[in-house]
Amino acid sequence: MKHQGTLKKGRVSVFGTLFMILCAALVILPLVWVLLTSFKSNQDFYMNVWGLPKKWMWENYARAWKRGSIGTTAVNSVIVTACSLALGLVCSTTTAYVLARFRFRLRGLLRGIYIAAIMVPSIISLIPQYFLLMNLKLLDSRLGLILIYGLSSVPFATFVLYGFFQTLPHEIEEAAMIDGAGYIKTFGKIMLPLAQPGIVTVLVINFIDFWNEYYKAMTYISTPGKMTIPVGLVVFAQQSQFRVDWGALMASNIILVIPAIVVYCLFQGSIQKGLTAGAVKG
Amino acid sequence: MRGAASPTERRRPALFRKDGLKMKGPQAQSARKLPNAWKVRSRFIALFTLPTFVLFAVFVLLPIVQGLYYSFFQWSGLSKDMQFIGFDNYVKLFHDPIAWRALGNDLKIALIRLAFTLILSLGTALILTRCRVPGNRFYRNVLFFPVMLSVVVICTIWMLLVNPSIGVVTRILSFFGIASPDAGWLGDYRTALYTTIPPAVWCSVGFYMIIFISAIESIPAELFESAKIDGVSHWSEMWDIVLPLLRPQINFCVIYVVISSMNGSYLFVKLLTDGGPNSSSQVLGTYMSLNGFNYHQFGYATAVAMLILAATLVLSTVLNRIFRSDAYEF
Repeated sequence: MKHQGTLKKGRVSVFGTLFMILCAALVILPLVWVLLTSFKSNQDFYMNVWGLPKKWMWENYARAWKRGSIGTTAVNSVIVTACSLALGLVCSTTTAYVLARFRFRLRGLLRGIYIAAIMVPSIISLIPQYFLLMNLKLLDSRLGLILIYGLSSVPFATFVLYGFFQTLPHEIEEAAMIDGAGYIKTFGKIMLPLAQPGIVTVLVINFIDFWNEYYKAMTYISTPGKMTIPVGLVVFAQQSQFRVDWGALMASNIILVIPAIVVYCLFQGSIQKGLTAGAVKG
Repeated sequence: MRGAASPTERRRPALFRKDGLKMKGPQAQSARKLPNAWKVRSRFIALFTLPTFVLFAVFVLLPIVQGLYYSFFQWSGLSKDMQFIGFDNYVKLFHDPIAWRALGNDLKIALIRLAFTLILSLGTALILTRCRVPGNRFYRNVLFFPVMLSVVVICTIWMLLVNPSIGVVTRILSFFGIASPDAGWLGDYRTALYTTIPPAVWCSVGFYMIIFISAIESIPAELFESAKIDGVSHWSEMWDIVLPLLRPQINFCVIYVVISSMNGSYLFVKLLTDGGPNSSSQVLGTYMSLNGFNYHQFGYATAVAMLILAATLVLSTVLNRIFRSDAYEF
């Protein structure tokens, strides 16, 4: 069947083009403004809020990295995000694979629990998880945050990967088993590489979640040396309530955004497809 | 092997089936030769599901149950001293005007977000597919990008844009004769709640736009061609062809925006107003942590959490009922 795709012929729609330019400006201009402000001195900021910087202050970034302690929080964020991604991935690929490819007694129940858990808003466990971490002596630690992030991501990731594993042909698995590969080898060497697009989708979705999450991190982490970037930024903004170092604050914002931009540029296609495909059937 | 099997028939290797041992075929034979093949299979299943499930149960499921449990106690959270008070927290919740206001605010935010998100994402999707716009790809990528951004960054920018003295939004509005309240849009009790909504819309329109675009692009070209031959106008094409075909996606959008707003608007409120001024922009999420971590009434706070859960479940059930639809088949 031929699909329409996007209109390529015909007159250029003036109204449509103008409207899209307006929308794009509404998205781009605030971000460009943050970028410009991150290079201004405080005086420059107050004198000329919306113009180009008079002098490009690269030292704002150095100051944000050191004094605003974005450096420490950036390292924490990388550790927490990477470990949570790994934990979430290991847990969800294994579970999704078994649920999708094997029939066993508690399969329906297990699948039901994970699907139901997708519906439960994560905020309601904020307080109980706080006391759970406290009892496990994991409060105010990166490990606690990693466990919470990684495991909270399991239901949705399993759901996405489950769909993926189900579409893979069974013949490949069969052939591997006949060739004498064990279950684990079949999974690791054959099925995982085949599920790669699904895994990329899950990794990207989780990356956005983990890298940007601030509410739980703010509640569970109190030592400045263990904070993640979003929390560090909130604290930085609060501390400087009366004498705001605008340049450094905006530089910190840019530092927080850069990884998101990089990931977006690298995986643009699969992000748009993956984020939306999981959502809609049809 | 079973070469004649139809492509729709589900085929699984013998060992992957419950009745694997009764199967014919090479795998089943090898399984019979190995008496512990079933043990290996069961062990594999256990290895791949059990550790995950145990961790998941401890860190995700248990806290949900515990939340329900805490909500029947009076508890400061500081000591082990918990006093069982039955449904008193829920009675108190029922008579708490701020809790009701917070619930109302959550619903207000959800509705306004829904209206703007739906109109903007549908509008941009239609323009980018049914009108000829140069640089089509560029607009899609730009509009989708805010989905990647942290709420913290979005709120920092928005706070400055509506700042009473330097904010550009404030200036533009006052240029059109809409004066900012003295304390700024975020500082006035009448406007604070509504001022938290634009950034939330800003960062989610692109997501729904992409959903709509991919749905419109999967509509067969023949439909548009025959409509064109019949001389159908642009508007009628949109109302009578495109929108009815987008029903499933629109339904999804309605449900998803409302639910994600109920479960996510506190992220914006916390940073922008922290529920203030004078609880005018309180939502359930912020009210819960306020009661817990500031007032040290963890029993009551978890009762608020249960209200969030109940509201979410009721809303999603109701919306699912109303918007349950049959997708059109091409």
